[in-house]
Amino acid sequence: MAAIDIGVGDGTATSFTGAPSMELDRGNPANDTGVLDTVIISIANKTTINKVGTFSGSGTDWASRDYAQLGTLNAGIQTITGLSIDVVANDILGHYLQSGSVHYYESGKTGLCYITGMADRFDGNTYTYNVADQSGLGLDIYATGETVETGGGALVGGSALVGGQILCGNGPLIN
Amino acid sequence: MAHFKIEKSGCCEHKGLCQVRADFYWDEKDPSYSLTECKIYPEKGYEGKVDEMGVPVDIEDYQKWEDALPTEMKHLPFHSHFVYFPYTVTDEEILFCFELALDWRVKNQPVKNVKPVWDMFAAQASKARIKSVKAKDFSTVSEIYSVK
Repeated sequence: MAAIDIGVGDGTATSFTGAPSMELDRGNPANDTGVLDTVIISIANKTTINKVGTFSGSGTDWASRDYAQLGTLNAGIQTITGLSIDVVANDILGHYLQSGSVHYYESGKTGLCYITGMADRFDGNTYTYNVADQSGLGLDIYATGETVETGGGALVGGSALVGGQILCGNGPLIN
Repeated sequence: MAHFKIEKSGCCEHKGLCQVRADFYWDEKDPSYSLTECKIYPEKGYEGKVDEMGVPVDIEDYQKWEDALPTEMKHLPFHSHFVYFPYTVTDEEILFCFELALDWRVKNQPVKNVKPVWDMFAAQASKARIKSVKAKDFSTVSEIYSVK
């Protein structure tokens, strides 16, 4: 198994997004294909219906591949483990907030995409995102995971119970 | 020590499985226990003008509004963990998995800004313990964890 990472977050951003918001970060696309099990997200204000996931596409047109509904998160740098989010090489990271806010960088990053109407777009369909005036911005979200071995009966995605057997440790628990 | 609580906002169906989230909290007597001052946001949120992305247009006005919010001291979780179960899962199995996850997380608590101190006794004892671990064959057999 090889390590996968996606997103540009490092817990140092200070500006905050609004809500509801549906934004994608074009920085640091996934370096490989597999499953993301850990998300580190810097929350500015307590959020609700917080979804984080992967998106495929290019330019302004992106479609969600997979996501996790994280639920309510308090302010601070939150480490969430045990997730199972499919990712393919070159996917980018995106999130949706119903309320609250996430920290973002105002410069020095690749750029964001956002969608007018700010509705939840984690439905697998392709939507056209707005990239105007988003150059240099970045979300303070970062996710890691591993490639998944195929053909060897590997545990996929971190299901806890497979075939009646309890499989512990859906993902790393280390910050 | 620590305990966990199932966080209902993170529980839902996901890919045909039951997604369950638990938040991990330090117990009151643990050295890591602390309370955090949290703003109490009104349900309506900020009612000033916001742009297309929902970001306040007048940041100073927003900051003023936020600074004036009342606060409360809260005990916040130090970690959130998810486990995906089939619908046949029992309450006991959910508890078992999260107890294990919590134990794992507590034992892997990152130590920051602390210089490692080499302890000869601990090093020798750890070497001996590892030797005994390597002498056995740890494996999972069906639903039972066993040591042969």
